[in-house]
Amino acid sequence: MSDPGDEALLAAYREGDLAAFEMLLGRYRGPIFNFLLRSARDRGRAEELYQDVWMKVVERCDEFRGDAKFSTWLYTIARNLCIDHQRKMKFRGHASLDAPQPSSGQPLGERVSSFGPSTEQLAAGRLVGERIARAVEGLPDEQREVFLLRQLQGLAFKEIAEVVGVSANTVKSRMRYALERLQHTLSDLEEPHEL
Amino acid sequence: MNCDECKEQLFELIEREAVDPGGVRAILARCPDCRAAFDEMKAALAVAGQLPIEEPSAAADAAVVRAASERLPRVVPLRKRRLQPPPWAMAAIALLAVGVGVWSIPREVQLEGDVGSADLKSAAAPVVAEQELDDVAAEALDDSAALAELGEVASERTAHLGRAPRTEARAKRASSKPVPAHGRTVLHQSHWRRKSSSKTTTAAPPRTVDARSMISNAARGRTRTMRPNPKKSSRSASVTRCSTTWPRLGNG
Repeated sequence: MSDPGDEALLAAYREGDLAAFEMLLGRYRGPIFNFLLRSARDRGRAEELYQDVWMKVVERCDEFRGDAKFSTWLYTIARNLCIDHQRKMKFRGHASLDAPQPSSGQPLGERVSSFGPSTEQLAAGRLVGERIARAVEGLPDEQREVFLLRQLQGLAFKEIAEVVGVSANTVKSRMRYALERLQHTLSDLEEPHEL
Repeated sequence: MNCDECKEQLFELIEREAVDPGGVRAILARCPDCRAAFDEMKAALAVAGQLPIEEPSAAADAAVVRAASERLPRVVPLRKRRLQPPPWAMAAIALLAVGVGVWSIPREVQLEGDVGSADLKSAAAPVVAEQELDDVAAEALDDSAALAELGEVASERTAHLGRAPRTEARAKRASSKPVPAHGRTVLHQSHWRRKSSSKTTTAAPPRTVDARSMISNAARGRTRTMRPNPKKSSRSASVTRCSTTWPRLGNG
């Protein structure tokens, strides 16, 4: 027997089935949290945003009519909350990782990722992962969100285009730029014979 | 396809979404630059695949599940749900009621019109209308007689009171008459009882003086229509309109 679809689970939850909601949560908790974590760049804020996203789902589940896929709807909520959060951070004067630093003229995100330990020192996979994470977090917002939606959730370009509100071709371009940037930033990690 | 177009399609080729995968592969086979760009793209994707995946805390998940459970609608008992009529049935009943109301209003008007036209079309219609007018006039004469009788009763009571001041007698008369809410004076019940016993007819319901005076005025007006009074031309004209209204109803 095949698993019920996301939309069927949400409909079941609306009818009072909490287990359906828990199943839905289990499907998306990891990807959504990592999307928020790489966008907010802080675990505490990411957890707050994570709860906010699901609260919105709970509050607005009656508004979901099934015109779009549940994943598209869910990531649209998450993206909007991220944008609101970033606006608040800018208003409060937090330094953006994308903004060029006055001292070096290089964005903080790139500086963090580039000035890490060397490849030899990053023997442990955890440290390599940390470096990649910093590189992803240092991507420009429009490239990062496309990259994360594709990489974490495996959304189709058309679906990403719906979430972001641009054309599918623009999504592909942004994804290509993000990969080029990551490749440039993490070139010392690349070992072609292993890849 | 040239090299620039090929490089734009590299990512789509990896993602199996290239518009012309055969053309891209052909250029990759013969162009080392394009082949190098393709390898770099694949390497970047492989590195990106090593992005660590973190888990949200159990507390965050628990808070979400708690909020979801609190939001759940309270399930209505099945019996109560069965007793409640479905919304479409309520809407149908409301629509039916409105429809009946809308249908009945013009139907009544039409029926009245039909009756009038039928009366007019028949040869006896003017006679019937004339008879009805006579009946109204006769009733009005009776009413005027009754009013005169009432005046006699009042004078008798005044005489019985002797030299009582006129205002006192008037006050007593006013207190003996029931005054309805609309402020019109109602004839006393004893008058109607006396009238019905003398005529041995079924007792008519007590009418207001206004209604009776209106009928008697109508009867008087009819006579005045035959002999119009120039001093009360407006009144006689209105009564004339009234008396000629009945035949006109049928014409309409």
